[in-house]
Amino acid sequence: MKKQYNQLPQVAFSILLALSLRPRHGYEIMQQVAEDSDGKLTLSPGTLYGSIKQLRERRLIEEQTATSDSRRRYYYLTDLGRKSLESELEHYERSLILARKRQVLGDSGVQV
Amino acid sequence: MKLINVYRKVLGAYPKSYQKDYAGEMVRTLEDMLHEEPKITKRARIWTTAFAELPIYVVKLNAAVLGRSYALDTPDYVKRNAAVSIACVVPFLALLSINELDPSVLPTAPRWTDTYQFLAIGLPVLAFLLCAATVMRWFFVRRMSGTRSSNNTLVDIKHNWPVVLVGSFAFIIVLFMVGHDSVHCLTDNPVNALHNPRATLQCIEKD
Repeated sequence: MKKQYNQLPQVAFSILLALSLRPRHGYEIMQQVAEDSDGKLTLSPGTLYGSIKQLRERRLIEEQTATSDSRRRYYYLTDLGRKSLESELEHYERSLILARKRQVLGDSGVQV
Repeated sequence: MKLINVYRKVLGAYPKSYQKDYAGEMVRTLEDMLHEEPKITKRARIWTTAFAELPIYVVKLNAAVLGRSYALDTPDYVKRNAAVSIACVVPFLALLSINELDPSVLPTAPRWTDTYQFLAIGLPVLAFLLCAATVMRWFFVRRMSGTRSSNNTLVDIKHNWPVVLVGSFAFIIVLFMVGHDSVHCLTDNPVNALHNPRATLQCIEKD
């Protein structure tokens, strides 16, 4: 069976990307996602924890309790989560190269 | 009562497992969001979004729990009896959708009367009885196995919800039909005749 790409929903992908640097708690994830998307993607508690639940079920992220505050939970990427994120990014990169070749983006396209 | 307490209460409608893992975190995150936002208009927007999404996630998550429970934990006899009960209420819905329960268009020939009586009342009654029997069987099987207390088992709809759902629907149909004008002509029920003289008069006029 061929490897499938882009299997993550947008919110899940954004959460994984937000966790790629270091573990974060819920509100930090929200802030990072908003920052990464220039404020275009703002998560609410229901959306955030609904996605976190799914990502944990797929073993892409795990949780740990903060040493400073036992009530605060931090989430971090698992090895599987990192691989999944890399796979998604590779797919996006290939799509971006292809879009540039075909001049789909035009003048307003993303410049890296 | 503070809004955050109302929010906390509403989170009680989420599935138990989800509440245990995330309800506290959701409240905490919402408090963080409100704490960081000085503008009252933006705070109002945060509250609106937080409350607006609750019913969606309550339905979605509970449906997911019930779906998983149906696939993994619901016994075969519950699934089978629920399917049979659904088949029993379908004729009623079909008759209702083509307005064949309207007393003014109801055929008065004895053959049709018997058929309608069977389809519109008999089958839903059968569905209700089947569902009730299934729930009772579930109750006794669980009680005999001694896995949970009898009190908990009877109200535990997590595993037998298909028959509880269809049985309740069948019961509503029966209640609806008892009060429906057409039933007076079909069943000649003396109690209904007393309760609804207008319909009874219509039946007499038809005869």
